Amino acid sequence: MATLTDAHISGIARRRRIDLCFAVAGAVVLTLALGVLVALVTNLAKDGAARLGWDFLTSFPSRRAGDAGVKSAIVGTALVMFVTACTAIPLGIAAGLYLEEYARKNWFTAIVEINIANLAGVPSIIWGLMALGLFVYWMNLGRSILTAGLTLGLLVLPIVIVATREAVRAIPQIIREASYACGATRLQTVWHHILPYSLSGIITGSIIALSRAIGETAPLITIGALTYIAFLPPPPFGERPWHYDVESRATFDTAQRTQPLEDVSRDISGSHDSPTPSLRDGEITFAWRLDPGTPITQSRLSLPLSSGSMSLSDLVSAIDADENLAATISRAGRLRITADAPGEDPGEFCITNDTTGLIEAFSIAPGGGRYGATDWIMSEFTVLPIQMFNWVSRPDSRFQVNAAATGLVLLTLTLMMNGIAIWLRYRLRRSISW
Amino acid sequence: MVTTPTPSENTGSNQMNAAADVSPLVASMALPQPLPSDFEPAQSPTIKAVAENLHFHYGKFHALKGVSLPIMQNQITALIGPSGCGKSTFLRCFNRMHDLYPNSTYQGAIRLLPDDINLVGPGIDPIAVRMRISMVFQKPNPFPKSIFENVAFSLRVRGGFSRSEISDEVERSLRSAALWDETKDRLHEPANKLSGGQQQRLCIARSLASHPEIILFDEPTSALDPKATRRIEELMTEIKSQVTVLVVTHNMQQASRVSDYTAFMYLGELIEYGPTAKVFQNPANQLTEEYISGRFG
Ligand SMILES: Nc1ncnc2c1ncn2[C@@H]1O[C@H](COP(=O)(O)OP(=O)(O)OP(=O)(O)O)[C@@H](O)[C@H]1O
Ligand SMILES: [Mg+2]
Repeated sequence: MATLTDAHISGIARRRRIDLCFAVAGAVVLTLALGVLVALVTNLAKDGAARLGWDFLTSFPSRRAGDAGVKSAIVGTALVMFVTACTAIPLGIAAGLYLEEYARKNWFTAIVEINIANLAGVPSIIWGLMALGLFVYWMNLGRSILTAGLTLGLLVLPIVIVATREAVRAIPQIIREASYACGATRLQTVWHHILPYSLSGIITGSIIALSRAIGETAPLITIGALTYIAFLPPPPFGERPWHYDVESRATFDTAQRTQPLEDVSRDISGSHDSPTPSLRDGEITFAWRLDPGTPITQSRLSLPLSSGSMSLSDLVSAIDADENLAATISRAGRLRITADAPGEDPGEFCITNDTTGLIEAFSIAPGGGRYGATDWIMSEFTVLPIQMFNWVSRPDSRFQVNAAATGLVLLTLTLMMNGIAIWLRYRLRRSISW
Repeated sequence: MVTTPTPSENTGSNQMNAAADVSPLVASMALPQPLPSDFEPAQSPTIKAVAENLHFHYGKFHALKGVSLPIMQNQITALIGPSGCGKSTFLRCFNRMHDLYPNSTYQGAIRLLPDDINLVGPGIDPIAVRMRISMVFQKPNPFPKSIFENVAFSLRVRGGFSRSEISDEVERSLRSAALWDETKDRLHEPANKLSGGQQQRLCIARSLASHPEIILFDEPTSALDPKATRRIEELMTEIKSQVTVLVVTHNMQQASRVSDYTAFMYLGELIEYGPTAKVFQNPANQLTEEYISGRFG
């Protein structure tokens, strides 16, 4: 029985050949996959590297590809990530700790567990739709940094929860018993032991969650992130150069093609959501639409608003010079700006569609005091992947180069975050052993 | 033949009569063997705690089947018995460790004297119990913190200690655990840089820091080499002037070397209890004899 027959020997040889085949196949597949990855990155680097420079990082987007940069996208990404981190990380840690250390193991927690795993697999566009309904329409948070941060926060919350649970589970039960045997409560055990010992895993998981969030595009497009932002959100406590009020909002009868301003002012109705002007760093953007179904028209004026040296009458002429805008000074001494439908004579209210139109009158008052600490959070924004997406979709090939350069920035950020995660894991793990 | 001591038939109520006098109760313990007349401890020991018809269930599994046993104050009581007989289960009833897990049910009583509270009674907070009865585990389990913080944790959970009080107590506990000389210059180094034996002594220091009334040891030396084992045994003998010790061991030599009383358990029941010398030299029960002489277990 113990002797090896020739049949045994040839069997070994055959199994060895199968082994070799498998090893070769594995190596080939691995090389192919890595090769494709390397080719993609080199291609991106080749296209984008030339465009990448200080100017590119510190310029706003522009109509001219050569002047365009990603300043607003970088700031937007940073702020959105900040909101995401502030929501997803504490919530995820709390949920993970609760599930591991507090919740009784029963059918309810089992269902919760399964669903958390499922949530991590929900396509991100679905999150975007949910966020559009919840944050934008229901909670009226607008298309703001806050909305985007919360959306991505929800999106990556399951990743943080799962990372927390895994890190907590890695702590031997005997350590918990040691703590309880000293007379510790659950909270003391969690605070003095569970949380500190699982921190490296939690931080690593959180960084990985953020590096997933940083590249997300679909949910932000769904909630309506703008693709062209030439301003930065207001700094906390920064000086507010001018402020605007929506003075009136009027619906017009199609029969009456023009209407005097006074009538508009008297006829106030509706809510202040659209159209809205926004004032940022010496620029006014006006956006309006004639009726809710039609696309938004935008007009942007560069005005030295922040310097405050421009006289009101100069401002009126500057605004009047724009083909879409008209300005008057009211009896109260306030500047009133009205938006016209394009193609019509400026200075008058015109309704060009056949149906009922909507037009607003705005007034701008100088010296608006200061921004609050959190005004930035309600600001509109763009982020790197959306900026990239916008440029990719332009026909001009020079914008494609910009897109490649933006891709490189994004890739670098992601790699940096993952690098930090690996480093932290290594550093913190070393100090903890059981 | 297994004689199960059942002093008072427990009827499911674990409320003890708080005014109950102890001495008739101990007299009625119906120990398998009464204390021999020639056994004369230095000071005649008083009872620190007494288990009375203690039953314990893991879910449906009946792990302790009516154990009644006194624990003598400032003495070392050893629990011996084959693997799976319920020694750890019994030990962990004393500090309510089972409460950390669902579906644990106690019946009967463990009365802590002299206050006469039922440790496994329904109105008793397990945390309050653990503040009076501490535990040392089989595998050394220092926290991955500094040596100092390991010992200080017992005090931190209680709160209300000043910094100097904490460091005084840490020093006292480390001295009691015979670890002070080795660690006084490295108090802030990680505890897991210590050797296994030192770690176990650190765990003893941690459990001493809160001035417990009883310390429970669950096979404290089974992960240690003979030399480290010796030191832990010496240590147990040293600390018994401060504290009552209950120790589970698989090592017969250890039980006979360190303990004053020995209890032999089998299949969730107490088979024999008595002074160690008596149990080892002249066991009353056939099973005890076979176990001690290594014929099973
Ligand atoms: N958590 C648990 N759930 C269910 N049954 C358990 C549990 N822990 C222990 N038991 C059972 O209870 C009985 C007593 O176990 P216990 O750990 O007290 O034995 P022991 O005497 O300490 O054994 P050892 O010497 O091997 O440590 C065993 O039959 C064991 O299988
Ligand atoms: Mg055991």
